[in-house]
This record gives sequence, C-alpha cells and structure tokens, in this order.
Amino acid sequence: MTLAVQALLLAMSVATDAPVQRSPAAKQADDLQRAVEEFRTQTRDLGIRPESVGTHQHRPPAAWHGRLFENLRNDFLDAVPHEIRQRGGSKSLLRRNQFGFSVGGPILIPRLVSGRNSFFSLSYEGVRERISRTYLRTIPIVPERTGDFSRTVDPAGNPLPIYDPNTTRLNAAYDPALPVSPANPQYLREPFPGNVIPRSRLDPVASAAIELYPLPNTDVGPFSLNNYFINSPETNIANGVIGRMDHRWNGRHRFSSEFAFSNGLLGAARWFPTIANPGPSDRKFRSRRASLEHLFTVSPQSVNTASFEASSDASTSGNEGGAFPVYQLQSYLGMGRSYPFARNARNHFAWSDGFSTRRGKHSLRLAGDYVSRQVNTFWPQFPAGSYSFSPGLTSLPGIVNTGHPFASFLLGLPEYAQFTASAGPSYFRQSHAGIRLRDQYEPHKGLTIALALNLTRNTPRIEKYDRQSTIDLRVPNPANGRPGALVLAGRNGASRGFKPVTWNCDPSVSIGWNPAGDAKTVVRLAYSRAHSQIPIYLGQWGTQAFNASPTFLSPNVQLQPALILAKGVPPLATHLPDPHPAAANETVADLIDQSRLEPLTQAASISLEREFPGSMMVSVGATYSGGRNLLVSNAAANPNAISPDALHYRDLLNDEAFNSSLRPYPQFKGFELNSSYPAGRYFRDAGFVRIEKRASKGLAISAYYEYSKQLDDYSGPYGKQDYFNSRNEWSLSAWNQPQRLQLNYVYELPVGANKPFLDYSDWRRYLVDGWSLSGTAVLTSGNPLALHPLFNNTGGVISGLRVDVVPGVNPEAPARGPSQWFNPAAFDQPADFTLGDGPRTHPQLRNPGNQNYDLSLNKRLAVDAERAVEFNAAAFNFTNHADWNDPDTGIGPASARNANAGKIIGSRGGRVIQLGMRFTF
Amino acid sequence: MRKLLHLAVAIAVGASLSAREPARARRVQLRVPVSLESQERLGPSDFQVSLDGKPARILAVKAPGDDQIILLVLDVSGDIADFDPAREAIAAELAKLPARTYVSLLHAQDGLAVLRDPTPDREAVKQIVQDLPVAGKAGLLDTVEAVERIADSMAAVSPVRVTVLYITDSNVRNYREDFSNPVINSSDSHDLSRKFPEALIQEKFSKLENSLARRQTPLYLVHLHYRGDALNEAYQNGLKGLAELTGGSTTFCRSTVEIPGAIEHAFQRISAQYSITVALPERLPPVVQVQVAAERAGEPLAHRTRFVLKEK
Repeated sequence: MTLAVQALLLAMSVATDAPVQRSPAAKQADDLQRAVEEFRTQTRDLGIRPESVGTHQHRPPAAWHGRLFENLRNDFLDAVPHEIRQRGGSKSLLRRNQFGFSVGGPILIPRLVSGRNSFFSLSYEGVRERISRTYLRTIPIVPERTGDFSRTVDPAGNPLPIYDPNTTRLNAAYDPALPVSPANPQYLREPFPGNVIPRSRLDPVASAAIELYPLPNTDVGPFSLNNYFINSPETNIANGVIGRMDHRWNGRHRFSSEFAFSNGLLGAARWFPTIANPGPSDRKFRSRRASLEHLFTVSPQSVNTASFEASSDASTSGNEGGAFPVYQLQSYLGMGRSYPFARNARNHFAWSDGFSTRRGKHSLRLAGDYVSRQVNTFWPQFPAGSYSFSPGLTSLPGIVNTGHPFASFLLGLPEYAQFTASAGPSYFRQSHAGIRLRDQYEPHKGLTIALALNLTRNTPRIEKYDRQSTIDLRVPNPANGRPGALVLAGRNGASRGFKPVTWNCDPSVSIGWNPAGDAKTVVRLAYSRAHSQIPIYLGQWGTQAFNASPTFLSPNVQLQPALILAKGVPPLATHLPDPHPAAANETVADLIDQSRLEPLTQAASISLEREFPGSMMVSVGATYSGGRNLLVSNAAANPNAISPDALHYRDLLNDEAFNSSLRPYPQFKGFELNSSYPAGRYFRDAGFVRIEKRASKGLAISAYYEYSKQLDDYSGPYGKQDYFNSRNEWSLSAWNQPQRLQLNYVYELPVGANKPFLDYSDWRRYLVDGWSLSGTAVLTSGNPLALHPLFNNTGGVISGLRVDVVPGVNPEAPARGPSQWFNPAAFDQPADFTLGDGPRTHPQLRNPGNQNYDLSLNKRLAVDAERAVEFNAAAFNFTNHADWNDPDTGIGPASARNANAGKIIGSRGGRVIQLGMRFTF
Repeated sequence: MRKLLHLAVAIAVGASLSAREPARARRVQLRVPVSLESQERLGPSDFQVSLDGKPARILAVKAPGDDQIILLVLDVSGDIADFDPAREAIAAELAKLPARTYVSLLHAQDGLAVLRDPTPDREAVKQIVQDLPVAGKAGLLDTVEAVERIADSMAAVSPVRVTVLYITDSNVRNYREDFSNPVINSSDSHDLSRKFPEALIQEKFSKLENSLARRQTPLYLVHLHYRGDALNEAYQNGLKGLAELTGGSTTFCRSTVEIPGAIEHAFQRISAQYSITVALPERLPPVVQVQVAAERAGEPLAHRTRFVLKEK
C-alpha cells in the first residue's frame, strides 16, 4: 500500500469516526494497545511526534488566519448631542471609516523554512474621519468692537463703567488711613462719556485685529456671555501597520520581533475662520517602533529573557511663517494661538534581561533594564508675541468691578507682554537603569510570600549640546547681589543636568494566605514603595540662555501698561546665547529644581477573596496610597512668592517696583516650573467590593464598587492660596470621585447552535445563530467644587484666592437642580487684600456625577468551519444620557453678585453608534 | 495601501478556500461521558439513555477502573512559580491512577508535540513533566481541536475511555495570533472599536465551539493562573464554556496554593467518569439531545446533553 493510500485511509478514519481495516495482529491487540496504535498513527500524520522533527513531509503547515474589517460611524446613526440641540442645532457632522486587515500564520519557504518554527502576523489599519467639535465661548458683542461699552454689564447685570486712563490723577482727598474704596479712591479717573471709547483713541493694531474677530452667533447668556458657539469639523487621517515574527530554534531558543509604524494627520477644528484662530494647529504624526526578544530556556527550572526595543514618536504642526500674536482677554476668547508651530520627537531605547529560576520553595527572578530617552523639541510658545489685557487700566484704580479687559485691548494697553526667541531645537536626554530581585517563597502549604527589591539609578535631563540653563538660587546675582542667578549646564561647576544622579532602593512585599487551608478563600496583603523619574516634557523649558523669552510687566497694572500695543514688543536686546548671570533678570525665569528629590509613592492593600458556588467570586478589600515630592506646576509652587503677610501694604502692592522688592528673588518677575517641581503630597484611602460571575448559561458579569477619599495640597484649577502654609491647603483632591460603580457583562444569547433554544439546522440558523451582547455601565460621583472669587484685588500677591464662607448659611441648595446646584449665598468675595477663609475644594459640594452606558450587539455568521462574518453594532451612551455641565463657581461681592453662581448651563453627551463588519478566515 | 488591501483580500480568499474540510460520513454510535457521585459500580442495565426523548440502545458502559487513556496536554508558558507546584501535583496524581489507565503526554506551547505515547509507565511521564521547560507562546486554542480529533479517533477504534486534560497557565496576550487588538494608530483619539476588547477572542471561541461540538471526548482544563483583566476574563470564560460543551469542566487557580487541589480534583473527576456508548438511529438528526438516568445512582447525573452529529 502506498504512502498516499495509507494517508487517505487515515484521513477517512478521522472523518468518519469509523475503524479502519487493520492487520490481524492489530485486531488481536487489546483495547488499550489499539488506542495507543491509533494515537501513534494520528500524531505521526500530524507531524507532532519527536521523530517528526526536521521531517516536514508529514505535517501540513497550519493555515494562515486573519480578518478583514470595517467600522463605520455616521451622524445619521447618532443622536444629536445635547449641547448642540440646546444651541438650536440639529446636526453634528460625523463621517468615520476605520478599516484594515490582519493576517498571520506559519512562514513557509520551500527548502529553507519549514513552516513549523517560524510564524508571522501583519496588521494594517486605516482611519478616515471628519467629526464636529463644539465649544461655547464668549466674545465681544458688536458695539464693543468699536469701543461702545454702553451695553456692557457686570456679572450681576449692572452697567460696567469704563474709565479713561488718560484722565488719571491723584485724589487730593484720599485718606491713606482708610482702605481704598469708591468713597475713598486713591486715584481719580473719568469714565468715558456714554461709556464709549472715541474711535480716535482706538489702538491701530487692536482695530486691525478686530477685523479678524468673528461676530457673536448665539446668545446663551446671561448678559451677552456665552455668545459664540463653535461647531467645526476636525479631520483625522491615519494609516498604520504592525508586523510580528516569531522563530523557535533548537527547542530552547525563541526569537520574537515586532515592528510598527503609523502616520497620521489631525486637522484641527477652526475656532475662527481667520489667521487669528486661537484653536490648535493641524498636526502630523509619525510613529515607529521595533523590538526584538530572545527567550532562552536554560533548564526546566530556569529561563532567561532578553529584549531590546526602540521607538520614535514624532509630530509637526503649524507653519513657521504664519504665527499671529496672541491677545489674551481674560473672560473673552482671545486671538492667536500659543505654540503656533512645533517639531517634536520622542525616542526611546530600552534593553532588558530577566532570569527566572526555581530553587526548592523559592522562585527567584533577577531582572535588569536600561532605558535611554530622547526628546528633540522645537516648540516656541509666543514667536509673534503675547499680550495680556486686564481691566486695571480702564478701571477706577483700586476699585473692583470697574474697567474691562477688552477696553484695555482697544486702547492698546497690555498689562503683560512676552515673546519667545528660539535659536533652534533642544535635544534632551535621560536614562534609567534598574535591577530588580524578587523571591516568591512558600514556607508551607497555603502561604506564599513574595519579596522584591528594586534598585534604580535615574539620571537627570541633560541637553545633548549642554544648551540648558536655570536659576541657581544660591548664586548671587551681579545686578543686585541677591541670591539667584542664571547658570548654564556643564559650566562653572554646574552639572550637565543640574540635578544629581539618584539611586533608590524600593522594597515591596506581598502575602497570599489560605486561612485554615481553605483553597476557596484567599487573604492578600501587599505593600510597595516606588520612586519615579522626573519625565521630560515637550517644550524648551530650561534653555533660557539659548532661547530667550523676554517679559514685559506693567509697572502698575492699574496705572501704566507694560508697553503700547501699537509699538509692539521691543527687539531682543542681546544676542543668543546669552550666558550672563543676569540675563534672566526681569523675566519669568525657568527654574529647574536642583535637589535630589523625586516623586515617592507608597501603597498598601488588604483583600479577602472568596469563591462561592455557581462560579461566583466576591472580593472585599481596602487600599491606602500616599505620596510626597509629587511634581506640581506654578499654581501649586512658587519659590518667588510674596508672603500673605504683605497684604497689609494693600494698594501699594500694585506698584511693581515695591511689589518685586518683597519677593525673595526680586530680580525675577516669577519662575516657570514646567510642572516639574517636587512639592506635592497626597493620600488616598479606598474600600472596594468586586463580584465576578464567570460564564454560566452564557452570562458572565462583573461588578466593582469603590468608595474612596483622596486629599492633597496641590490640585485644582486655581492653585494654592498660601504657598507658605501647605497644611492650610490640605483638602479633597480636585479629581476625587468618592463613589464609582462599574458593571461589565457579556451574554451569549441562549438561541442558535450549541445553545438550548432554537437550535435550527435549516436556513433559520442564519438568523438565530451567534448572537451575543456585551455592555459596560459606569457611574461616578462628581468632583469636589472649587469655588473662586470673581475679583482678585490682592496686588498680585495671591494668585489662587479663595472665597469667604458666610457663617450659618447652608451651602447645600434646598432643591438641588440645574437652576441652583449649590447655595452661592453661603460664600462671599473676600475683602480687598484679604485671604479667603473657604477651602481650596469644598468638603461637601460636588459637581454633578457622570453616567455612561455602552452596549455592543454582535452577530456571528459561520460560513464554514474556518470562515465567519461578524456584524457588530455598538452604541456608546446608548441611553442617550445627558451629563450636566459643571456649575458656575464664581462668587462675586455683594456689589456685583454673579447672577450665574450655582447655576448649571446645559448638559453634554449623546448616543453614538458604530456599525462594524468583520470577515475572519 | 490599496495594494495592501488587495493583497489581504487575496490572502483571505485563498486561505479560506484551502481550509475547507472534507465531507463526513455518518456516525453509528455515540459516547456519552457521565459523572456521578456514587462510589457503587454501575453496569449497562443501570442506565437509561434517550436521544431526543426516544430510548436509545446502550452498546457498552465503561466504568471507573476500566481501561482509560488520558491525553495530558501541558500548555505552560508563563511563570515557573505557577508550574512547579503543578509538576508536583501531577506526579502525585499519576501515582494514584488505576493500573489500566494509560497517560500520554503532549505539550501545546509553541505548537503541539508528543512528549510520550500513552503508557502505563508513570515514572517516565513524571520525569518528562519534571524536565519540561516553561517558556514560549501559549498554544491551547491552536491545539485543542487537533487533540480532540486524536482522542476521538482513538475512541473510534477502541472502547477505552479517552479523556483530554489540559493544564495551562496561558495568557490570552501570549498567543501567536493577536487577540488583544492593539492600537495601531496612536494618533486616532476617537477610536471606539477597542472599547469591547473581547470581540476577537469570543469569535475564536465561537469557531472552536462549533468544531468541538462535533467531538465526543470530554475536555478538562486546569488553569494555573487566573487573570482579572477584561480580555483574560473573556478568555477564561471561553475556556469554561468550551470544556462544559464537551462534558468536561474547568478549574481556575487564583493563587499557587490552589494548584495541587485543582489538579487532584481534575484527575479524580476523570478517573470517576463513565463512558456510555449508545447506538444512533438510522436517520441522523444534525443535533441530538441526550438524557441519561440511573436510578441506583441516587442523584441527578452530570453528563453531556448535546451532540452535533452532522455538519449543518
């Protein structure tokens, strides 16, 4: 009998489940031997016997498998988002196609590669999308554009007077013993007649810019606020590929490699149809990644894994020739964009090796890694200049709720100006090395203890050509002899990264215990500590000597502008690089912390898991986590802050020269910390319950509920009030959502093939087979409210001013709803030059909670054993639930109450449907 | 990119055409795996079997202690710390098996391979288990059809009880085929297609269920390392469904201390399983519902209730 005939008979035996004709000797063999013989035959045919290794002829290579897919979204399918419907809209453009393929299988090259040990996979995905982005903002009303403020009102709806700065004079009757007030003004100023600025007084640059400002297109209010609704499409084009190869050699070595690349274009929504557009620029993305892994089986108890990965993520945006000046107008949407163009790349190279072995009751793992990071960045913030306008110069000096930033703009009187002079890109570098030793030990049955030590070495950020600078707060400044002068990396004793290389050794321990040997119950305890390396952010912070950023500050924000808009910012007075120690004087100087502090976090947890009948698992637990030296931004740290004790100087603080004399480093207008200053603390306690029901009768469900409390001394939108008393800043974290409930479920409908009902074999099976439903539901409570006063008359000493609490008034609204979410009467604007006594975040009042319900319905249609078509309809927010927007938390003084305080304007969200089809083979 | 798409379509069509299975001949008998708590040995006269509600003729009953072959498939590619307790537990359970039980050893990681033909030599099997390295790509999903097919073929030529037992620590993210659907375009921030990550793995299980529903060998699974992320939960749920479909069962270990007990339980259930062979009717329905009763057993029997007999 030829081999071919034998193979045919064997194949038939498999197909028919019937015995094949066998030799008489085989017939006489007992049952077990016959089964063993059949095993040998079958496994020989499959080529999976030891003697088959290297002889390819018996084993057919496995087939290639893969899928083709298309996901479609179109606004025709969706509910109109609530925020658009509330503005009278009936459509929110959405056209999205996401398509691609994936294929994988053995690599078979005749006479070279057998298809037994080498495998590949290749995936491609493309995206073509246009989607509306919506924003609600406030821009000047039509009369204001020509200087007519006769219809301009304050937050309470009262007329807002605009004063002529040219009429400023000292008030001879001013009594310095009394606070400045409308009854005792320090300076006198005449309001513009009829509250209209004469056209002849309008700044020509401002007048030209006004032509690029769009007109209001809605009137949500109150009082002409929220009058510009942006509904503009964003485009998104992306193409990407991931390829993988896997090769096994000699049974003990396995090599895996992966490469990925993706190109994308994100066409930003246009906020204005002109060059003055303040919205983001279009961005092009390019990402590349490659990795190689070698796994070596040293012995049955020992494995070594070595890997290398390199990746690069790059983006470019904007046009270097097309920058428009940035005009910041406080409550009004400004003009021009910061960072109008950029070229950024993040490169990452990582080597790692891990050796795992088992010795008796110890499982040991020793792992080491080395990571090199590069950030190449060219990202000037204000190449065409930035001008900030406040009400001060058109106010009655010292009197809040007078003057208007847009009036100051029309007169061309900025209180602050800045521009960025970039000489070229920066090439930042950083590395991390670590060794981790873990021992998992089983002292006796039912108890496992894992101990780990993590030794890390982190280097600070350096610049490839040492083009970094900072302010060294210990070096005397040649201009005034006070501490704080510009120093350059790698020069005059400064290290290349300004910070020392840090070494840390962090332990962790975890224990798993079955009480009384009950395998269905597990108690887990864990503790871990970790230091984090300070990351490199995009941008050229810390290169001030090489990329200057001159700043121009008003000598007195109520009396004198920083400069005249029509004249623009003066040219750079020095050539770059400027290494002089006083080169950063009179600027907001970049300050790199030079200490060895790194963010440190600790976490501990305890949980009890119990398995119940019916494949149900219940876990109950509690966690603690805390941290210090967390990285904070300018809002939460200011080494150049003036003590709140200085508030008794009152209006004198508006004088920039006097104000700066109170600063610890008076030669600087401030410090830019770039969210890299290690000064934050937090802790978090949480308790949780998790219930999991494994698949039973087609239904698998899991529910997770957590109650948590998190406090810190730095978070929130308005920053710290008192930089000198962190204890007084200790309050609920701005993002703390104390309650969170999440529900996940998958339900294979009990109809069709392999199911109890409607198991048809005729045409009806195409209708009933393969239905399944998946869903998630997430419900969270809201963040704590961060209340803030409408006016900040503290002479620039306090940036994060809080509100006052009115004693005896309940902050809760009697009938909470969008018209009154909280009781604003429980809070007040603090008196001028006084700290607020309210909390940074309120302990009781919270923003509205969020709910989201997603659902996915799948229908699989088996074409044959290997091929299938799957249809999918996914509905995100399928209940079309509207989450309320956050309430207005601005609290005004008794003279100008914020009519909107405590109110919620509108809601957001809407059902989105995605249809998908996938063909698998 | 258009060329890539054309290439993909061509590959899809070509691969699917090559994947078609040959036509199948009709079956004549059916093996029903039955588990019962009673220690008393039952014979053919103790059982009543009905197919689609009609009494069926019992051809043979194989009871605990009768000839049995266990196809023990190891699919270990994760942590040595998980598999070492399993090695010891397997060795202990092998020693307890009845004399007429043969064990064959295969591994599934990095593809299916025979480590030992069915043998009564427990020491030989134990030694191979001790020497088996823990490394590679998970292989359960890629091999279970082939193992079940081998087992069915063995049962077709011999009346011995044949059972498949997988001991695995597989992670769904460690397969050659990528079920995790990784993000390809990181700049695509509006991608909602990955919000339900279990779709691909569910689809794989759907295919496997259709295939294993035609098989008669019960599949038992011991998973050494339960994982709680959404994708692995879907994977583990799929494994459970797969085993139950064939009349077997799955045990998941949440900690290493549970491993010996889980393996012991699996071997006990396999050893205690009956195999009832019944004659199929002349006209085969595509799907048959099976009911088994045994008055002497004293409690409801656990058995496979549904068999696919023909391709639809």
